[in-house]
Amino acid sequence: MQRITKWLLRDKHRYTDSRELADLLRRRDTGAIEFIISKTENLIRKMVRESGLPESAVSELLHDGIIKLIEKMSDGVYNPDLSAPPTYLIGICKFLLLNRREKAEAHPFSPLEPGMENLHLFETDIFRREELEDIIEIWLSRLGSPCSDLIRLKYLDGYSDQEQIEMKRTNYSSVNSLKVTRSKCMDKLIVIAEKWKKQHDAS
Amino acid sequence: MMHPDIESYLNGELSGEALEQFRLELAKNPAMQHELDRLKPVWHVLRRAGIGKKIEEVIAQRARRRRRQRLLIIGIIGMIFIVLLYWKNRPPAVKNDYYLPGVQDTDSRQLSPKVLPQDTATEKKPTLTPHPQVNNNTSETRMIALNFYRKYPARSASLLRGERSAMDTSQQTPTDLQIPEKRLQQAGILFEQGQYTQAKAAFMDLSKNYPAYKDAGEWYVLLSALAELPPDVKTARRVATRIMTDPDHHTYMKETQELVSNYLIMNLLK
Repeated sequence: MQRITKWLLRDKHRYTDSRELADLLRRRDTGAIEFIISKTENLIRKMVRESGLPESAVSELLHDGIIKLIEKMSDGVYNPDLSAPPTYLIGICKFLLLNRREKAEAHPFSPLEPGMENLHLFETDIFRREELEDIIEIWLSRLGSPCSDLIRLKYLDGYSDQEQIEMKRTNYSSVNSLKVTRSKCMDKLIVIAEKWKKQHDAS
Repeated sequence: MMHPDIESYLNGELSGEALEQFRLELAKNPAMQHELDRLKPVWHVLRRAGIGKKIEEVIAQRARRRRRQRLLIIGIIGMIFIVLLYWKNRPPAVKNDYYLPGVQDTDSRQLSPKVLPQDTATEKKPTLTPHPQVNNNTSETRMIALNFYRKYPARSASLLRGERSAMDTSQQTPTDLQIPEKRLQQAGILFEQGQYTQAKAAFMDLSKNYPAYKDAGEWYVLLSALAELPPDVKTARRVATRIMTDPDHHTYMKETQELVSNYLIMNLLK
């Protein structure tokens, strides 16, 4: 019986500590991302409906909002002592929604809680994930193997260096050798990206 | 070549002394700062794509789980619906040739229930006892009639059978049909309760008074007569002959032929 009650209340008692949740989100933990989505989805859906946007905008908004949230957490902009991650995410989504509706000026964003004043620092353009994926694919194809594989494993698939070695996803046997090789690859990638940017700006 | 710690620094993988040392070196070394500035936009794009990919995976996973849950709920509702439908349309329980002492039906009312000595001692457990009047022949007669009734119960017969009747029911209004329909149902209940004599009379009344239900009435009169104890062979023979020689093709012609062939085997309705 106790086990059933525990199982039924598993979501209620999970991540009660904002710091722990923020830390897990920063590490892209699946459970933490699911938790924050479950906590905010209904309210975001309501906001989207009220804005007259299609239902598909809910997942787009959640996607963009969580990216921003994790970025702010990683950059140390977010302070878990001032607001809980779900509250902060709703603030971000509200801001993104206003931007999307091009009403940011007509309805100035008012922070929901202290510590969220810096939300105005967000870029006004909503991220286009398809474009981004295309750009990265172009870069990685120009980079070639094994560099493209090393970068993909680290940044796109989200494996830590230790995990890559333990799971034998790479031929390197130590974290250091892996890091050194990837640094060389990053050097090449910077050159490719800069070249691509020049071409893109010219066209 | 780029310093390997630049990437670790951006990824937040440096801490404590290593982080302090890196920051000091960064402050002293402008070339390193330049490398960091060059890497930052590319790293930013990669990180954003990585987070985006993970979120997409989680959102898709949630959507899949929701779909599965919805399907499960629909499946459970469907199962409940099917069970309820079956429960509602289950074949009615028909009495067999055994009776429970103390439980009255038409036939047992005329007879004193057989109570075994051990039953009076314990007093509680009813035992299934063969009916005193049932011999092998009459038992089989009833069983055949009951099996036919089970196949074509009066409750499900209603209008479906009535429509097959030679009479045109299309001109009748629903209220015209409600009374005989009710009578058919009531007679069916009497049959199912084992009150075959009353059921026979009710079916007979129905067939005489309501032309649309003539065929159905006659068919159930035949079954009731054969289910009686002892069977009302005279009535059964008369009704069976009438049905089988009906010039307008009786609705229950086929069923009657089948039924009679069963009794012919038993040499009862020669």
